Amino acid sequence: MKTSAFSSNKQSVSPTDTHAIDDKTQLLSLQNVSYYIGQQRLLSDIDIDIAVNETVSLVGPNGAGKSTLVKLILGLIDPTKGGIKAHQPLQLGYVPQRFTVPPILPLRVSDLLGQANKTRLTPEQRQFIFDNLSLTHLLSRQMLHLSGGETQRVLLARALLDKPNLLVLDEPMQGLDPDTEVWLYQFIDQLPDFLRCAMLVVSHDLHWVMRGSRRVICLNKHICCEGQPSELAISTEFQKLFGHYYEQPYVHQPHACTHRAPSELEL
Amino acid sequence: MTAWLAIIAPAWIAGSILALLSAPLGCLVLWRRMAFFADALAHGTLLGVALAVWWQLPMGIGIGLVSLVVVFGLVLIDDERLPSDAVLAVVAVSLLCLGLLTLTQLTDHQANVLGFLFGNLLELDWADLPLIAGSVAVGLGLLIYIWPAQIKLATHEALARIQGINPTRQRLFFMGVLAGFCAIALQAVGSLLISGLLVLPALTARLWSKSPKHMVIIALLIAQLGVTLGVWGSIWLDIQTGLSIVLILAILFFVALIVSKLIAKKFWSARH
Repeated sequence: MKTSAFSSNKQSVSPTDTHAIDDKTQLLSLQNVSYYIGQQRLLSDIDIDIAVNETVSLVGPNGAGKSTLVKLILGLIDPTKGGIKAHQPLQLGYVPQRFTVPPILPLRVSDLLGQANKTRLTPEQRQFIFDNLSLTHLLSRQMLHLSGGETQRVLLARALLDKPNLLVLDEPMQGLDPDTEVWLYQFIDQLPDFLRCAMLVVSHDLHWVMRGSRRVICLNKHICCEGQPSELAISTEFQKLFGHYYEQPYVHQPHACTHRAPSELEL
Repeated sequence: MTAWLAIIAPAWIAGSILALLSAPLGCLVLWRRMAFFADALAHGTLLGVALAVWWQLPMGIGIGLVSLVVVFGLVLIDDERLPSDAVLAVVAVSLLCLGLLTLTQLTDHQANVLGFLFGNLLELDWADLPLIAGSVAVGLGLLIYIWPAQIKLATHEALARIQGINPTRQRLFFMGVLAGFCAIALQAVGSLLISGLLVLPALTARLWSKSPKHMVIIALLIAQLGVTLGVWGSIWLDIQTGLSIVLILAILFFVALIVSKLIAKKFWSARH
């Protein structure tokens, strides 16, 4: 059924049959979520289910509403329409896109990490995070004096120390050099069992997004398409949105996006 | 010296107790970027006192009333086109004018105006100390209670919020503590200089500190030093206590700033 769908109708990247296979328990559901600022519609009719321990990548051009969607999922803003339902108590972890400590606040790395929950992980597990993100030698440094890569590592550790069941990474690799980027992506791809959690990764890096078997959601104020990378890469819609060179920075052409409504996609 | 000591002891002790609250509170004021708000609130206390005298109410009620009006007024005039620091400056001078006007025209406290503006700790006697100590203890208790959440909010609001911290509630709580502090600090440094007492020790401490805790400890020491030298200085120079305390704190700040710059320069020239 899958193969026929691909050969006959390139549009139908079905969101249902792809993750029905590895779906166990749902963690979070966005139901028909829209978000407006005044008359301006930032997001419309978003339906997303995130299962326990599932990794979802979110891609989309600038201004697609990725950060707005992240804020909705984190509960920092409330949807104008629709609802967000957690199927079990959420413990959120968040690595923000930009992070600057106000210079008036003297803050060492250890102070920032101390703001995380101290009891959810055992000392050994905490040490594992420090070791694998090579943080031990940074602990006494000022947050203000860290490089971009160091800051991202600290923030990732800060989020993981809370032992989240949903980890949200909002363009975690922005401004990092390629080596650090690969290294960090490898780290989150290979989290040990005690840190296993659902992940929502907002990314510009289509190279990473398209590797592996994570579910990809491609957003442009609505959900344009969604599915496994192998299926998405050959979908016309994705090609139109990102072109053939998905490892390069893309230029979004809004008019090329002739998507169908999510309900039609399921047919 | 000992004869003087008996006279200034209550003032000195009261100032020291007050500095226990002003130092950590001042750090938070800086971290949460509330220095302008603190200034507006401090000027509001003058109007609060003036109204209380005029209506013959306890001063606490007058100050509380004006603080409430300031907080709600700020919410009402919040306009994204206007920078909030400028709005707060406008509110502060308006309150100062209203306060002075009420105090001089509608009450018979004209003679005390300087005291209200610049503080007069020396008027305190032993009987006033329990109230000050009690208020400071309550203030410190509240501050300790909200401290972890406040530091998280100062670090990164979104990260704090996903840990379940309610920023609005925390802000109101903090404003309440600040208003209470202004009420008790009015006597010591006067409404014009309250923000100086709050901000100066914390600013000085920032130059020498590596963590929030450091900054509070150093600010505490500097505030104690400022109060002690300030109380003696006010007698020596025969000026309002607030003036001399804030002057000492300002001198300490500039000395610390220059020294830290010199050290940094030496450090760099040694490395290169």
